[in-house]
Amino acid sequence: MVTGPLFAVEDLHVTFAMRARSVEVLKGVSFDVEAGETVCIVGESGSGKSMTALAVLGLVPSPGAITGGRICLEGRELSGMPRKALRGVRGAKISMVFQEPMSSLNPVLTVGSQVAEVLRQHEGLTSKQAGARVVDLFRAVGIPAAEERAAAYPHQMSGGMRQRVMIAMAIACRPKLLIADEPTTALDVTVQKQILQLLKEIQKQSRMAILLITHDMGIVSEIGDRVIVMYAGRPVETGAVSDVLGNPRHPYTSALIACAPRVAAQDARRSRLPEIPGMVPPLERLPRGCAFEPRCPRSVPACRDAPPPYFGSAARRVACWLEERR
Amino acid sequence: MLEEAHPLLSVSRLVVTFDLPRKGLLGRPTVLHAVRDVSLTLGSGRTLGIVGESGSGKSTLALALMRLVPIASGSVVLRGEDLTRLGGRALRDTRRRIQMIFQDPQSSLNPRLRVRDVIREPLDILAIGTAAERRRRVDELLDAVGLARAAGARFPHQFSGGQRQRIGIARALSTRPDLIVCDEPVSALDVAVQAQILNLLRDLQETFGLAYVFISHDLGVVQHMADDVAVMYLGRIVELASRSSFFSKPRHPYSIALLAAAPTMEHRTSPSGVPAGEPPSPINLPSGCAFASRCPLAQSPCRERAPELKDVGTGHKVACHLV
Amino acid sequence: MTVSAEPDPLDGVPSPLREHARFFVRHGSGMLGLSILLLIVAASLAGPALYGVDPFDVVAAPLLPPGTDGLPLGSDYIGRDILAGVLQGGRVSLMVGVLAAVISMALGTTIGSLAGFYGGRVDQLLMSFTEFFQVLPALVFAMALVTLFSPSLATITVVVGVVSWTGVARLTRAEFLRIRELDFVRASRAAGASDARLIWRVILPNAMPPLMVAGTLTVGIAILFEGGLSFLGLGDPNVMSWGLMIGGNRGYMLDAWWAATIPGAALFLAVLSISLIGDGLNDALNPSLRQW
Repeated sequence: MVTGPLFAVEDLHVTFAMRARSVEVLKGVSFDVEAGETVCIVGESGSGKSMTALAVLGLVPSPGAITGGRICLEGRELSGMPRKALRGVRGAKISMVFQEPMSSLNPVLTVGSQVAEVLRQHEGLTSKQAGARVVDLFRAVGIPAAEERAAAYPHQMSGGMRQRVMIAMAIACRPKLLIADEPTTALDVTVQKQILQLLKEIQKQSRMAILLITHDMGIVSEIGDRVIVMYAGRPVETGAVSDVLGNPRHPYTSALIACAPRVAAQDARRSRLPEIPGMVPPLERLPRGCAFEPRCPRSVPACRDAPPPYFGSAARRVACWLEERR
Repeated sequence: MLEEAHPLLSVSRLVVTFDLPRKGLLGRPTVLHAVRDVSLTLGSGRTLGIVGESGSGKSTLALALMRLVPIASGSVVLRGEDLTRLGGRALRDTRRRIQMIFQDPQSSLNPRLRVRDVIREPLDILAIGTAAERRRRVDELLDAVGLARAAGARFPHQFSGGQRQRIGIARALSTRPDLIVCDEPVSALDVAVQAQILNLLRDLQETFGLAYVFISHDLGVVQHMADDVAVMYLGRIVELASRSSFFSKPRHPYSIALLAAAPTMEHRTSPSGVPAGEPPSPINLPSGCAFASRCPLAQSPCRERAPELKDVGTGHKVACHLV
Repeated sequence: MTVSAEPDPLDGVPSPLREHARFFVRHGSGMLGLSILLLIVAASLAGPALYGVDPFDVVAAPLLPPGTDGLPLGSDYIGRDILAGVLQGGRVSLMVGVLAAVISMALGTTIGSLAGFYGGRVDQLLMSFTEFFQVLPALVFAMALVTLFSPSLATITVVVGVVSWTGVARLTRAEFLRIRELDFVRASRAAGASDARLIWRVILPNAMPPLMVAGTLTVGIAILFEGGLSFLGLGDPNVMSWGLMIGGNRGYMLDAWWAATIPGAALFLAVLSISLIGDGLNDALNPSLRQW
């Protein structure tokens, strides 16, 4: 029996040590994921959302390294694991789907053989057994004419199909946790909806946990149970999706929600879009206080002195000085 | 409302095809039908939003309007002049009236040129103004798009995606065009930067009386920017309407599917009306309606005859047998 | 108007060229190659005048070892001063190498850029032409040409250039095919740029990094080629070149190894230094430095 969450990240720090200086790109990220739930990490470029996914899988590119914190799957700590053991976990217990399937798939091998390779490596199946499973998997992810498609090459398939192949590869060994980094960003919106529905179905059947990284609040609202909003390497607001999206407390969260134009059935009067002025600060030159303060419409003098701690309960945390009064 | 007596831009029955290399010595030559029989108009100072997914032909349409790809047949009339009939000097002179903004901020600026040279390039090529006048114009443009004048001396790689798009916009504005073709100008940008750029485009439109052909796959963005909306599928326009008419009552099954698929903030919309499968190949065109293979309402006439765009009231046009 | 945040205040405004130069200077072997080459160039330019000995004059007994009779590098099989020969040979090799590389690059980039830019029939035609030259055995073809047109420095230079352009052509074509699809090329075209402007001022400057590396290596190839032709006796007999020295003294390797080995070492060093420079350039101009 596993007590506690399926997957837990505590106070994760990742630093890039370069010749002239070192930059901390993740500053204390903590969250958990339960079996069967979908947690979304949402943020813009430079927020650290993709780095979190890479760190969890031990794939932080050099000169970066994990410099603090713990990552635990089913109670076992992954952060200190030797590489061989980590490889056993990757692909089998935790698997990942990336944004750009064309660069994740080997162009000179058929898609079927690439998925079969994963099965042979992690589950020790023979070629024949693996081949049969591949066809089953392709059917499960909605690839029509599964047997013929298994012999196809990546360039012969559309973006949506390739992403389905990636998902098939990712779920082949029945992982406990699937990490998806912007899996639908490169896809058409109708295909995106199909892929999100597919992920939900798989989750329902297998109680797989999903950690989904995205920049799109709309996707969070479609598929997420809980959400973590990141800014400049730190989570700034976490909680249940309905809560955070319906009642955002951090000024960045509300700004992010407000500035994306959404389709409305009644013809919206075409006023200006609310903007967040300025740009995300470079991580080497963060302000002394709250990282968002220079762009925040509601900042107070205290915001400039020190970065805010987390206020609220474990289920709903906000890193904002304005929350102190509550 | 949609039809004007003398629209700024009038596209009529535009067709763009690409010849693909044959397979082997004896293979048959194949043709890719990128844009098929597209007609539309745009009034001065207004925005036409063109929506579609990959393979719809919307980007090819943009390139065709700019005469950056060969046009097989049809006409593109800008201020009374048919761009498809112009060549050489006349075409070059007309280019000052219609400019383009590109999707990818990483590849749309020449990395070897300083920003001020990037912005000034159209003026240099078209020999507009004296050197001093061009320098002044670059400064004006940097102001207009919200960049510091010092930015002119720097190189594109020193700027963020949003700033690079501003540079691209400044370049497009340099010749004082009447019309700017915007090919997914904000798709590659973060959502907060996207809002800045969209607001900038609106402000510039008001200040300079620009008309936009605004291409996007994002319906929310189109609803915010466009006066009129055209939906493309496999090279054809399947619906053409004013913005209010389109978003309050879309008629074509594909438009309805697109709107249903757009992520909204309503938590957990049910899995509704997403068409299964994918668009057919633009090389082997199906006979009949291109959407028939995925349309929940398809019936036999749909598979036999391709529907024409017809007016279903107040200028709202739909290409569907069942509407 | 909306005013965005200022661009990052960077000290100075590094142009792409300066950035590349900075990287090259940091590259150990590249700088080593450059130093050796500069030495060779200096020796070749000033050496013959400073030393003042005609390499064709018989000044001593044949095959004297280095250091005897005031001959720093000894004498060859006829009795000529080897050092004088090496110095003049340097001039010949470098001159032929550089000029032949210039011809080669000019031919190669022209054909490659036209093929890559226009595509279609033009590309097919030009590539067939290129393949024809690629398929010819270079040395045999060079020998045939030299025999046809009497061997002189000019002939050799042209011949070497004509035989080695195909690699550059293919490289140029590949770069053009890649770059012409980028949006900034479309933007220039949309502003009314002519084909000539697009080729020369928009695409070619962006294709420079790999072409510069190729150009550098072509010089090395040309030097070797000239050495080979002279070795076979097909070079200009009125000029002392390293290949000629190696060829002439080859038969005496067992008795007087220095006579053939010293010019051989000079040739080796020259080509090595150029390869090292090319290597350094390759890393300095590495695509990871590219911004697209």
